[in-house]
Amino acid sequence: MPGLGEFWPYIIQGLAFGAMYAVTGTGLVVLYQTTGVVNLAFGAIGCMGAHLAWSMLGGSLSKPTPHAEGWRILAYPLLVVVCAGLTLAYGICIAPLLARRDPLVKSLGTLGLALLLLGIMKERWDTSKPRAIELPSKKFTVAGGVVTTTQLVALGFAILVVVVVTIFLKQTATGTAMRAIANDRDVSSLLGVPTRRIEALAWLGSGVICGCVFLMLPPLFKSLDQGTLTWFIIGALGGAIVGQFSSLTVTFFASMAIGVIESVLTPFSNNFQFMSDFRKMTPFIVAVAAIMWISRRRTVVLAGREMR
Amino acid sequence: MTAVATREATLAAEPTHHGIARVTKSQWFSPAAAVVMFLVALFFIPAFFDSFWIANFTQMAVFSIVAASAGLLYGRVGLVSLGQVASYGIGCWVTIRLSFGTPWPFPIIVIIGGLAAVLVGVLIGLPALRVSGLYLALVTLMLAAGMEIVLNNFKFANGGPGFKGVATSLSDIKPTRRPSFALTDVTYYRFLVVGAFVMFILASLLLSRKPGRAWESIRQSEAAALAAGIDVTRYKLLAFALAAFMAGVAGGLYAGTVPKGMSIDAFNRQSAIFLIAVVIMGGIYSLWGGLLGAFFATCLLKFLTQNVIGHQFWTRFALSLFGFGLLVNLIQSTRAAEKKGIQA
Repeated sequence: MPGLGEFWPYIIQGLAFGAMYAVTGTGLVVLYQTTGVVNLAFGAIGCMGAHLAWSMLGGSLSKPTPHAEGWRILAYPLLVVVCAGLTLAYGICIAPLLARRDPLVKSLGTLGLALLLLGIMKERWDTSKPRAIELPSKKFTVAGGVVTTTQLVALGFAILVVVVVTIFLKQTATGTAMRAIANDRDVSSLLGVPTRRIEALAWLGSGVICGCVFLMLPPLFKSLDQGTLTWFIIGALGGAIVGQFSSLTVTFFASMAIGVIESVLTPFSNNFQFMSDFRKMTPFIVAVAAIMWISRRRTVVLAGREMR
Repeated sequence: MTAVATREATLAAEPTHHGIARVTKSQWFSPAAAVVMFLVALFFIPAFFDSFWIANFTQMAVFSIVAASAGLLYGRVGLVSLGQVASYGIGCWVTIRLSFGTPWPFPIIVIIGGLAAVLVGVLIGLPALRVSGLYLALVTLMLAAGMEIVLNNFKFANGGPGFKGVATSLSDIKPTRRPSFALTDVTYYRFLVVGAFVMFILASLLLSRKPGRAWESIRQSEAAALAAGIDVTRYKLLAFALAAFMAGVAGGLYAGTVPKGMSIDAFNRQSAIFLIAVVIMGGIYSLWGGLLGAFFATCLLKFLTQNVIGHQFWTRFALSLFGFGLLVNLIQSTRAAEKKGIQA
């Protein structure tokens, strides 16, 4: 059993990863609320953006971790633009074609996009070679533990995103329109809400969030591993599921808790080694438990109404 | 998925009992066609193809069982499980472990592997009793991801000591066992074809009888099935158990195709997603869909690699191909449904 002092660096690390889960969860919730789509291609889109940025930064087999110099610093905004563009393109071109299907089929469509992008990445960037992107970052010590500026920025960004998105949804006309569409798409359309435009805006917002997450995620992982980054989304779904794809606050706190628990299990060894070995199952265990709790009363749908 | 709309439309237009009868009696697996296909696979393919293609048809036979099991859940019961890979992995792990740890005949340990997978299948099925649709897909995807972590930690046995049976020294790694009557690649291929045929017949028998009719009813309306006195809980669990058994047996059969040091790559999250794309592309409303999907995923890709571009392009690009195919299928089925005036 490790001493309490040993946990501190892992708590910091867990807060940073939890923040990434939380921001991803926010992007998923806003998009699901507006369009009924769980964007399972979130990770693949971000990974594609990160790989393009890596190439633009001058990355090569002899230089697997390139540093931004001169004009190449534009690779960072390019990453966000690529993610936003890909997400918006899917939202405008493909998503409307599936708009009348149930959320399951709409979400399966994004799996198609994820596979499509993953295949391109495998063909273009050899998966067997290590790659990484670094952000300009400084290290300093807080209460005996080393903290990086990337970790702090991730945490601050998560709080900012949740607060701004919550205010946006509650206080602005567009936010109200988004909530109206989430409530009833057809009635909102009849009342004059430009559903297509609002949905496109939700896709764009989700894409920008995706870009920002993947600006920070590769430096936190210290790797551009395609599998890890693409399927990061599965872990991030945990918080969104606990928040039932509706509450941003619950999603935020659940994601932070998942990130911290997952991280603080790392130093366990000897008799408790299994806790360290299986720590990555934390989001799945939490999500499955949440789903079982949410659906503890079995329901069936009869004539469009949910019956207990 | 184009078939989704067609069937939806047919079932909506015709009296329900007529639709069910038509499906169970004729569409699932024509016995004559199945026997012809079985004989062709058993005798024609080994006689006319070289060892490279035999290896590919072997992979196809294994994959067809897994694809058919996932298609059965989706197409027949209306449950999208992204966790079939977990059952596949469990079947493989148990078979390999028992093949090193016991002198039991290979077919017996494959069946035990299948039964072990049933436990996982039922475990996955338990949340399915309460949730469906998107939440079920997400739960099963998470279970598949969880199983990847478990397999990553346990690793596949390779003749080492202890419960895990993992040897760390290269010199201690032993080859995976095959049945004594199927030691060569061709005989093992034939053994696999027989195994796949038995699995397809088992599924077909259940689909054409009472469970099949109950599943069809649940797929159309769970509330109506409950009202009609169908034990929804029992039949949903039976569906998960059958699908898991098929996937577990496939995993066990797959164990014999890898001579040494099984990797977990075939059982990871990406494989879970790839499987559902293959299943949807092959077609979910017929067991033949599993076979077709498996053909696309194995032999067709190898053919393209050999004859069109080569240099592993198609193997790497396979994910894109199936991703694109999945999207096209979903869009086409939506269009077909809208044309028929049905909101799918």
